[in-house]
Amino acid sequence: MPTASVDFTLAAIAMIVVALGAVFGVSMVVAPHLEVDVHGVERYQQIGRYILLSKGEPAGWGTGGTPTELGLATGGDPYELDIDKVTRLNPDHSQSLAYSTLWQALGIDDVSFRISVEPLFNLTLTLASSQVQGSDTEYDFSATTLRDGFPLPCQVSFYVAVGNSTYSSSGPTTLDGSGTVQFTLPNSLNGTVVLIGIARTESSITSFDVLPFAHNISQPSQPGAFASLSPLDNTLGVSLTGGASAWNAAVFSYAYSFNLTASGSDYIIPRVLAGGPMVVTLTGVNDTDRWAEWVSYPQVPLEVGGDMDDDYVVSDVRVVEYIVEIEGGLYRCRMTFRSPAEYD
Amino acid sequence: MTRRGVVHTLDVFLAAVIIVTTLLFASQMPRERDYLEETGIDSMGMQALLVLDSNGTLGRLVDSGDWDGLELALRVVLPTRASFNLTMIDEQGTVVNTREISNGGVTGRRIESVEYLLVVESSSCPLYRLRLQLGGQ
Repeated sequence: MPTASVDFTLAAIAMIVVALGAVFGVSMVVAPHLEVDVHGVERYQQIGRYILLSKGEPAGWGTGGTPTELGLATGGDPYELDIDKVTRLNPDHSQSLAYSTLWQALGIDDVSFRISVEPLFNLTLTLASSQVQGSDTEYDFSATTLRDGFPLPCQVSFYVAVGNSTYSSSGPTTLDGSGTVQFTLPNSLNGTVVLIGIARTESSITSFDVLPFAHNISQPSQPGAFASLSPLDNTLGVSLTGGASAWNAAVFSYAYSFNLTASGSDYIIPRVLAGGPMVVTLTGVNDTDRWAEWVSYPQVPLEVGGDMDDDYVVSDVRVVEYIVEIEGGLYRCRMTFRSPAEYD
Repeated sequence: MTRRGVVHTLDVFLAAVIIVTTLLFASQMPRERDYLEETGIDSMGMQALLVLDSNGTLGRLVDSGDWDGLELALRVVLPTRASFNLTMIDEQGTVVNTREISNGGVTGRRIESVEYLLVVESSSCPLYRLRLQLGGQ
């Protein structure tokens, strides 16, 4: 290659790098002083507020039917969302709404969106160790509470559901966000067991996690293998599969736990005044397999909507975020919007 | 015009085409923007105070003087990338909080301030003016 061509190529690359660096550098420096593209952001903020502050049409679409206008509010306090409307956004729910239905109900042709609802911080449960002690087995679990990777001290209520039995305990996570809990289960029981943890900060903000584990069997049953659970309108809808039969349904919140009353094949979920997330478990047997299934009510975390990960669409993705309240618990609702480029 | 001059003209023309094309392509690249930058930390702060007030948490914490709990609540509901400082002022204009309610001072290139009127449900029904200063990127 001639020297002149090499010079030219290097010079062109250097110019591109310098030009791009200058553009990004200048935009970084002047961005705080500019009102850049406010129109598009405000439009998406208004759409987000509309979804969160209106009840939709019909107002009670959370308990059944298809909405003709999309709105998640209860009609009470601002940013207080209906537990059933939110639950039906979860794609795992038996009466979930498809994105196409939600998009039609929103009624804005040039906007695609994605909605996620999640607790404000994360509680993570892990099985640390187990040890057989005579006729019992001792299980040690660790709990970690983090907020965007930063430790968060909390009080945690722990529950274990196995067969017809439930066990409970409580304890704190310390300043480094870690805690432990121990449960002793009799070896006369076996099957899939669920450990439930519901954490609460001093300011009554809650999160939860559920850990299925095997007790006297090799592996815990796969989620949804024997029953699918769909809570709606304070009723736990149960769909058993493969000849499984149910033993016991129970509900767990931060302050309370109790067994549920059967109504046919379903179970009635009472309203818990203390608020916050509830975890509902169903235990049962299928031949020799003793299984356990669980679902949270409201059924979060959830994510529904259009695919925003497509790197080849020439349009910007914008995110607006809100704190919302569902039945006394606070959650983070993130909405991602995108329009075709010509509408930006 | 000499042959050397023609080549230089072509060089410049080609370089200009490359730079313009690169800039056009860069400006069209889709990107997920920083939601703090997009949403505006002031509206985010106001919305957080509104939700904490509507479920009674804000009034309870202020009424009991639980500044640690109030700071923790703001740390949880506000994005971790936002810095904040909350000042509570009573009806006489006196600052009520006896310690700083902050996650390390207000820092960042964007500084916003929101004011929120809080009425605490109690026998005396006190009224407070909450000034929440927020900093972000």
